[in-house]
Amino acid sequence: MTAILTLALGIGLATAVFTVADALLLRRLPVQDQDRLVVLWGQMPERDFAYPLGFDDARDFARRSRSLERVATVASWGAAPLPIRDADQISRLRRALVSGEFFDVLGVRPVLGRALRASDDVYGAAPVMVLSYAAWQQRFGGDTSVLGRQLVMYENGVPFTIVGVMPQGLDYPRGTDFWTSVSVAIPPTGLPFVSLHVIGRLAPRATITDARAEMTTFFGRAAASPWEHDLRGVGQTLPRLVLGDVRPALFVFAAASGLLLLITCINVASLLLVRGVGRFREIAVRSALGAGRGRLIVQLLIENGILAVAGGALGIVVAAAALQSFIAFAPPGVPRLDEIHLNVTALAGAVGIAGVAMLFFGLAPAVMTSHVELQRALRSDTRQSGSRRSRLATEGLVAGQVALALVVLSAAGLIAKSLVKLERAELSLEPSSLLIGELAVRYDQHDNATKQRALLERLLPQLQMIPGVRGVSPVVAVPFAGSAAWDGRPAADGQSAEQIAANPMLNMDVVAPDYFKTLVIPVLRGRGFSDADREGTPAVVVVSQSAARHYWSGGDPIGKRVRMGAELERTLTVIGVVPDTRYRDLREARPSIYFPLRQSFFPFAPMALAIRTSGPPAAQVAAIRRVISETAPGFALTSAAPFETFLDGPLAQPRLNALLLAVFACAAVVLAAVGLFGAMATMVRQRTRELGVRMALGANAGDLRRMVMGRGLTIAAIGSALGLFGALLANRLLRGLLYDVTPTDLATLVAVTVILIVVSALASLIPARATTRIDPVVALRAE
Amino acid sequence: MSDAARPRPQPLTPSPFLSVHNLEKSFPQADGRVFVLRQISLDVAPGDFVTIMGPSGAGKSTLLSVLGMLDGEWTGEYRLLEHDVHALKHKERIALGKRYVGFVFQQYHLIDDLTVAENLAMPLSYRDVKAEARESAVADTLDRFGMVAKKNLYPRQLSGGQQQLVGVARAVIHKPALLLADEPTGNLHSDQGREIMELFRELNTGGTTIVQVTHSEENATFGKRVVQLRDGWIVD
Repeated sequence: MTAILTLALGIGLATAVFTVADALLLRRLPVQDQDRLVVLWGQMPERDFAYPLGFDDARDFARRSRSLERVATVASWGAAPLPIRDADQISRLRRALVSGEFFDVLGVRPVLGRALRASDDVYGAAPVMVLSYAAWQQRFGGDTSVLGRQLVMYENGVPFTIVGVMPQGLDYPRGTDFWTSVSVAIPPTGLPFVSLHVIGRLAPRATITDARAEMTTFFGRAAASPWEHDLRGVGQTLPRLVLGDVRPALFVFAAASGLLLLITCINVASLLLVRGVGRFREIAVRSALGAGRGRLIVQLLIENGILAVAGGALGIVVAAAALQSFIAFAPPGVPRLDEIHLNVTALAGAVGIAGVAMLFFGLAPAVMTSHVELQRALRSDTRQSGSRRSRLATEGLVAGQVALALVVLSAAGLIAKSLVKLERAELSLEPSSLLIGELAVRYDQHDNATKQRALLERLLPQLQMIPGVRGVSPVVAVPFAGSAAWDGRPAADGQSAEQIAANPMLNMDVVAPDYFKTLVIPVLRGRGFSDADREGTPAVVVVSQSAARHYWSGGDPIGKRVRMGAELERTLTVIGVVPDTRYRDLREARPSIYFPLRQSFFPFAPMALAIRTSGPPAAQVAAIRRVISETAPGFALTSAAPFETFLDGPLAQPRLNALLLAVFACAAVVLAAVGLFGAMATMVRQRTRELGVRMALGANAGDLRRMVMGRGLTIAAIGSALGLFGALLANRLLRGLLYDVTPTDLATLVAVTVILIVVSALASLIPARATTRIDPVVALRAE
Repeated sequence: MSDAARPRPQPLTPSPFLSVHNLEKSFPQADGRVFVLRQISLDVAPGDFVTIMGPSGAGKSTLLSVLGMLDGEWTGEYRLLEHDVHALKHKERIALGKRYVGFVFQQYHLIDDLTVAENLAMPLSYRDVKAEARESAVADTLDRFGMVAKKNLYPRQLSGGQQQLVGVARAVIHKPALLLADEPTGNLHSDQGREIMELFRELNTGGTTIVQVTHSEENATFGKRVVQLRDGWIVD
């Protein structure tokens, strides 16, 4: 029974992980021949920054390409959130802009209605959209009458008609709620500002290397701008691109799953080995009655096979329960949860795993026990003690389990420590009582940045007067917005061309004078912005510490000048220095540059608000929404949430990693403890006679307990030493998943070793205490 | 033999080494109790060599277990030197047995994973003898029993006689005042058995009080007197 339950636990969890990995990471995209689809863009040598193509260039490349037989384009910024009005509700959906032949190139069929067509991608065509499966389910409840329904783009009041729904699993660009064509969504005057990636289907016999080379050649053509000549074509296959950032996690989970299965197999192997030893006499009798060695092995394999089948069947039940638990307790932000369910692939995997386990744990004990010497086994004095060799083999297996458990436990410990560090990362701003709201603007009413800024200027004082509001400022983007925020690379006065080229990308924000007070960001040197920093007065900026260090290391940045613009024609003076914050990226405090709202020269206005409240932020939302609609018609508040909720995004994957590895680690430790308990209990049982002799020779209960505990702890110590060695090697694979923790973190390794030793001591304690119940008279008399 | 309690026998000497009076051991059964030992009264003088004989199931080994403090579930009186064993707690009995008693078993009961030397050292390790003193005592005992050349061998590498020799050596290494032997030659052929019995005689001559259980008439001749046990009773 123990063997079946152990097998079920190991197979069940391994199957559950296989299912999750398959659903989240491995399941094939619902496209035709996915490995022949490639996505291309440009890259400057030795720079980790993508250079997309302009609208005209993308079309030009599509015409010229020989390595790609069909070509489409997709906006390089991916699926961007956009305010949508559905009846009188305004919310945000993530829109992906694509060319009309996008779905044709992918070779994907809609589950409802139709896909976009080339005729949809013409300026002036009727605006249509295609929904993603997830959006169709979550927003429209899977209603098949959704076709023909219209959603209005709040920014320009243009209604888009839903013409189709894509199949489940098509999540490119990641997070897309709907696709629409570039030419309809962007007016002709805006097309020069659109940046695109090329997505194409490789021609027969063409490779991705050919496609990259073709893109490199395209950048080097005579008509290209001089700076483009340094670009080289890069790209990925579509599946690799979609899975890219989860590959490290996938590898870790696969390794942990494999280790868990190995522990399970070892555990069951040792249980069966012990059982086999206990059947020496039976096997000897069968041998004496004529059973050949091969027959005995077959018999044992069949018996073990039945165990494997039972364990595999129960393992499927465990897997189903584990999956339900995962779905129920998964951290927010985990995608494709609705696609997680046991399927044929997982079932086949479970059967395969059980088969491998049967061969592995059935064969070794079968071979060992079929080697029994007939005469020796039939003698009474060998009945219970078992051979030293088999005992050492069992203990060796248990030590192996302990070693593997320590490897998994150390990985879980490192990931957990990394998560804690990430959750406690110094933001350099005050996140509590801070509301972040997103605005939608009617671009048809406020069609330029000047009008939008004027509307903001009118709105901010009104918001400030709401009771409970202590500070307000616009911001460019919500926290952790990634590519949806603004970046720029200003040059400092006096920098050479080489120095300018080496400047880092700075996070840019356009803010009101109240910004630093609202976010509680201290001004370290100089001053923040004031009402005096307006149009017509000297242009000023505030920079963050690391930006100041880069441009003016060792010097006082206050009063220094930076240049911006296509020709670096704009000059701005640094008036203040603030800390780098993690508003944009939780893992890394970004160097930043801030511009006062009244001096903003950017073609877009900041469309989010940061509002400091005196009480719970959510309590102010209704009042804020009312003030906005009264004061700034043409603006709408599409969402408002406390700052802390935005932390769920960047923490989703680390939390998932920690959760899954913690489950693995617990299972591994439990299995190792069960293995150790079994080995010690067997030791006591098989050495009862010896223990009785020791008592007759003067050993007391404490001596016997120490003997059993000592043996158990010796096995655990050997296993731990091996495990530490293994952890030092294996945990290097975790580097990409760790934050501010090294793979060889000493404190973590010590802690997990101590935990394992303590668990081992507890596992040995029960068998050790059982020795006190040994009656030496009975033990010495027993055969 | 009547069921009436026997009167306490007159001691052979003013202070016997070991004395039991009305010792009884029984087990509950569905229709009452089963007695393994009944009203056992026995005195053993210092330096005595007593042989307990009787058919199988007479209670011989059980009596030996009681005398050796291995079995604490009995009634009656048991006095060892100046100690009232019947009044002692379990731990006190164990400590007393550790101090005065050595055991020789029919099946040797050597520890398979330990060498001859390590088997000999075991009783000393349970008596808190320091490592240096242990080594010295083991060396002396190996020499005394002529087993120096075999000190690093394992039990499976010895003959039956040699294993029993190690068993005897192990039983006396801590110089017990009382040696209990349960069928010490039961698994040996006659020459080996004779050798062991000669050794017992030698130990007895040296002052060790010995109580042995045996079926062998020949072995009984090595002792000074015989006590017959039948169905749990001492018979004349």
